[in-house]
Amino acid sequence: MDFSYKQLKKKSVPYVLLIPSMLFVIGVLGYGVIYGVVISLFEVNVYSLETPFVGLKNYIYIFQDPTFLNSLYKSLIFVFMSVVVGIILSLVFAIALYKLTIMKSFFKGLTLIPYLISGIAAATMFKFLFAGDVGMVNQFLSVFGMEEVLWLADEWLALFVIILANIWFVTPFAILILLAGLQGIDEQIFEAAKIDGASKLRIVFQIIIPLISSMIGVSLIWLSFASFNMFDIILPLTGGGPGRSTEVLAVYLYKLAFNDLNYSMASAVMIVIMTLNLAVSFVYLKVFKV
Amino acid sequence: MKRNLIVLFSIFAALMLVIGCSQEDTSTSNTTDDNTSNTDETETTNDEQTEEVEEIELTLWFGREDFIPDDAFEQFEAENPNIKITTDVIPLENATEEFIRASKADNQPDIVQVPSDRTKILAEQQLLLDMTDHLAQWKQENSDSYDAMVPLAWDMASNEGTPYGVTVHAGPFWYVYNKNLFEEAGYSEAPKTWDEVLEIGEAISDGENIGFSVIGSRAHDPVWFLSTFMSMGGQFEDGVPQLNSDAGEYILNFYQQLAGKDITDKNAIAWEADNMRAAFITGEAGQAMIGDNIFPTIQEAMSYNEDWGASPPPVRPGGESDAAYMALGWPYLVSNKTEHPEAVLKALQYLSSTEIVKDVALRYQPTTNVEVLSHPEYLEAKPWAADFEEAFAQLVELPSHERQSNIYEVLLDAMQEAIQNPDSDAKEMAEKYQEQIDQIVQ
Repeated sequence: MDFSYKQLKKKSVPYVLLIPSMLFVIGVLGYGVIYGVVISLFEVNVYSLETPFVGLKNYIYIFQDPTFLNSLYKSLIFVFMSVVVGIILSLVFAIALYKLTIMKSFFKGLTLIPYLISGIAAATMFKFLFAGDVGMVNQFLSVFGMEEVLWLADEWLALFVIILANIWFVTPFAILILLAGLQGIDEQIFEAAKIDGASKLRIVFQIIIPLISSMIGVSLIWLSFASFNMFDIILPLTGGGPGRSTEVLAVYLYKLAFNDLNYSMASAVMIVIMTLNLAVSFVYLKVFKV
Repeated sequence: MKRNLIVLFSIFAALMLVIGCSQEDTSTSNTTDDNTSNTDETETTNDEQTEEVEEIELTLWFGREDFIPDDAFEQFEAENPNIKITTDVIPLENATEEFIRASKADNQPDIVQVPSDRTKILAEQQLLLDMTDHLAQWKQENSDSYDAMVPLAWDMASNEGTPYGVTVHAGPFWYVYNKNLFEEAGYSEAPKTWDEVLEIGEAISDGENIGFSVIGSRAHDPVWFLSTFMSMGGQFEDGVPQLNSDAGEYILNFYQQLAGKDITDKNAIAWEADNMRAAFITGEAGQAMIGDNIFPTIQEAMSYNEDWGASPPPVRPGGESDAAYMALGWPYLVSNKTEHPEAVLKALQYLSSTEIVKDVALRYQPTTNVEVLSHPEYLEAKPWAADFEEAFAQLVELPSHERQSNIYEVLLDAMQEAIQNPDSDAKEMAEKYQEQIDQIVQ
């Protein structure tokens, strides 16, 4: 009896230690999410004083609204490109950092800089880079006699620019996650592979990737989550335009909530974004066995 | 154990003694202070009156720091020693939402400043105080200061005839042009119609210079677009712009021509206010529609009437009789939960007083106070002001609807489509977007 009590006590310690953080998360996030779910079922906006229960009407409306469907479509492109390019770059940079022998800490710190800069500052920087004829990229192209490219005035190029900015912004954290995974691999495995004559590509695909698959899963969750929720770079960089070409779901949500003051509709969009995040995370958790 | 209990009890008793003594000290101290204060005040007033004066604290939310009076209410507080003003800056862009949220939490300010097109939303949410009686009191007690405000000052702070405050500052958009570029292109006078604007713009645009600088992005509410629309004779029904009209088709066609004939910059669809203004201020653009508050910045780069000129917006041929000069305003609105409407009225009167308004108008936005507009100091600091005195008297507010922000989104769609598709049929475009607007407001 005494033995099982001790065992129970020992096993319960981690759960007890988790309680404060769980309470904090539930208190801050849980309330917001539950309240969001509730008001998405009502009609809460500034156009009327009544707040009638409307059930799923808000969800039905947004899924029939071309503006929302456009945002969903643009979000899927934005997230897919950000995640695919982001994870490849993260892996490449993580391996490069892992291989460094001199000034490793300096370069690790350098990698984190984009992540530490605010979204507004990053947006301003990308604006300087891609603004019309005075942007640095066009200035550079003009040196080679190339025509000015309308980066932010063309619908697809603007989407390309925000994807690029997003990758620049969210990839550093994914790099650190993968680097942590790489540093956990026993170096003797690499030595043994080299002795057995394995090529570098084979080491990457057959040793590194399988051994850090759980870290890749975590990185993918981060990249997807950060990309689905990204709006602080897009809003100041393109405002969702030209047209509505860069109005991803998070930007659409922001406009609904803070311009239109249509809280219930914005909550419905928030639930959609959260569902997408959860679904994608669930897939990663299953595939990569995180 | 027993010893420990005795020690604990002793500490507890000592603590209680200290607390008791300190409370006695405080009350003694307060009494002393009161006595001192009463002794002092007998020189000017009696004790009874002093006790009757209620200490009032008013909270004011300004939409920009620039709107706060230079003296930060120092003079006001000296004149009204029982009223303390606390100011906070809640950006105009967020003020409506923040005020609604704060009101629901009973934490609202007494006075809030919002863009005038948001007055309707707050009024219909029943968050504002009907100031009819208080304004009547103002007019009765201080008619000079009341009459110094143009009617627009009250209109912009009203909804369906009920006043909720006062608009002290309002900014119109005027047509500006670069005289040097005009001369190079063979023109000497400001255009009278928007057709002439296009003609001159085409003559100025040569790859190096821009004929007409315009905001094409979604970064701002389409107030420049609407200002142009109203100068073209654009009409509104219940605050809803009528795009499927002659003026509606004309303005879409105007934007199409700007883009199609390369009169504006190729990147105009991504241009924000800063880009549009910078193009004019740096002398790259020949024409633009720019807010009066930016004129001092232009003046720093160029000299008025020598290098640049300005006039009320041109008109649309055939739309002369309906043309209007639109102004945006930033009214001070009174919360219906304020406990001190009398003190609020005093604060509004102070904010509207000529001396206070003059300081703000000299360094920031124009005003609805006519005494300031004709003040020698103002006219000297703003050499263009005299040319706009008549136009100022004709300013009208931007009509608004409770679904204003949704309407704005559709207008931005229409404007951007016009820029992106210069060859499309403007009439069809106007019909399409009017249908969308009508669906929103039905």
